[in-house]
Order: sequence, then C-alpha cells, then structure tokens
Amino acid sequence: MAIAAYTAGIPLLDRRSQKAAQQFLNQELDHAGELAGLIKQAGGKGIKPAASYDFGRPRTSTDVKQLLRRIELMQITAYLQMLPTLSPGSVRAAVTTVLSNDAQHLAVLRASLDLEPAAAFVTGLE
Amino acid sequence: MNPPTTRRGLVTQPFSPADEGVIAPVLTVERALAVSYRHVLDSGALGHHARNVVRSSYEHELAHVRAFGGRVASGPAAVAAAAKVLSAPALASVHSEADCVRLLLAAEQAALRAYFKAMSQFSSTRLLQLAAEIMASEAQHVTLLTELLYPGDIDKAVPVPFVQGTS
Repeated sequence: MAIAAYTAGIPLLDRRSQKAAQQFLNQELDHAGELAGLIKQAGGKGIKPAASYDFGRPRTSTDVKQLLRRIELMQITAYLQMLPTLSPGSVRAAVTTVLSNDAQHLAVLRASLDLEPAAAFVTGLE
Repeated sequence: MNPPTTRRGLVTQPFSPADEGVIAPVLTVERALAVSYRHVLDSGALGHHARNVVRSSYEHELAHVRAFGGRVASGPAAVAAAAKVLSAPALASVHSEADCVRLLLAAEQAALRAYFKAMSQFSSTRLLQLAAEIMASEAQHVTLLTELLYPGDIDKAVPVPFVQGTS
C-alpha cells in the first residue's frame, strides 16, 4: 500500500518533497523485498498487492503528505503488533530495522507538515 | 494494547533475569546518551534551532531511561562515564555546534546498535515492543540531527532502508 501511495502521490508533491518521497519509495521497495524474502525463508507465501487502493482524492502537496503520514503510521502500528509473533529473534531484529526507517520517513513527513517530527515512543498512534 | 499504560506498568514490574541481562547494556547506553545530550545543551555551543532540536531529543532520552526504570546521573563523573561507554573522548571538548551534533550522532548510532542487538533477545512481549518504539525514536533523532548538519539533504538524513546503527 505504501509503495502504491508513494507512486501515485509523488507527481502531486512540491519539488523538494518529491525528492524525499522518491527516496522513501525506493526504501519501501527495499522493505517489500526484504519482507518477501523473510516470508519465503519461513516457508510462507506473500500476499500479492491489491489491484488498486482507495486513497481518496488528494489534490494538493499537503493532502498527499497527510496521506503518506497516515500510511507510515499504519505500517508502524502493524510492525509493532506483529513483532511478538515473529521468530527467530533475528527476524524480529530485521523487522525492527524496517520499522525504524519508516519512523524516519514519518519524522520527515511530519516536519514538512509543521508538526513535531519525533516522538519519545514511536507507537504508530498520534 | 494501550502503550502509555504498558509503559507505566513496566517500571513497576520486575523483569525476568534473562530480560534484565538484555536491558542492562541498553540502559547503560541510554543513560550515556542522556548525559551526552545534557552536556551538549550545557556547552553553550548550539544555536537557537539546534538547541530546540537537541532539547526535544534530550527529553525523549530521559523518558527512555525512565521507561526502563532507570535514572540519569549528572556531574563530571557522569560525563566521564558516558564518554567511556560511548567511546567518545570528544565529549569533554565540544566547541562548535557541528562538534556537538557529530558527537550526538555517534552516540545515537551506538544506541541503535545496542537496540538492534537486544531486539533478538527479549523474551517479554511488552519489553520487545517498548524497545522497538524507542529504537524507532532514536532513528528519528538521527534524521533530525543529520538535518542540522546537512539541511535539506535527504540522502544524508534518511540514507538507508534498514536502520541498525553504523559504526
């Protein structure tokens, strides 16, 4: 979902935000590849991306950044909920490196929206 | 699960011996990190914007230490101990804003390495999630501190897709 949102949203962003969003999109693609590898390694089968997602109708750069902020929050929440169910420990550690990168994306997006960028505890809730 | 309630619970409940062994090195680094932030704030070397960024992160570090049931010492002995923990001899001699930020970046990277190592070892679900929340916070600090050194340079502020602390 994050990959689809960044892909669809980048053309609507202001020039400076586009550069950051492109960087984040590339990193989300890396995350997807890593997670797919972990699922395969565990003998599982990954879920295919949906054909489309309903992101509403963001029209401005700010609308898109708000959407991307919400999606980063959703990802962080999902990672935190899933962490205790994962094993072995090395998989938990690997997922946390992804979560921490998404927290960085969130900080940049929040700063660009004039919100406090960082939190003492990144919970996925605001 | 309500995270604030969980965190309040953590400081009053004893950890298992196994988890205490995992927390100890993380808490040591967290304390050193908090002392480093305090030291930098007291140095007078920060401009207005940097001071605001550093102060906010410092308050987060204090919250992290409290979440693990720890306290932060102060004074020259605490600074010396922090320098030893972080292998940061420059702690005693920060002169410019850039010095300060580089020092804090090195300290934050040490914290990220400590959390990354700990993440595979926790047995408590609550500790695992708390540590993940804090590691993500440290990752955000790295981004904000880097932004002070290289304003607007996203390649430097968020350079890698997997954050585990660099040496």
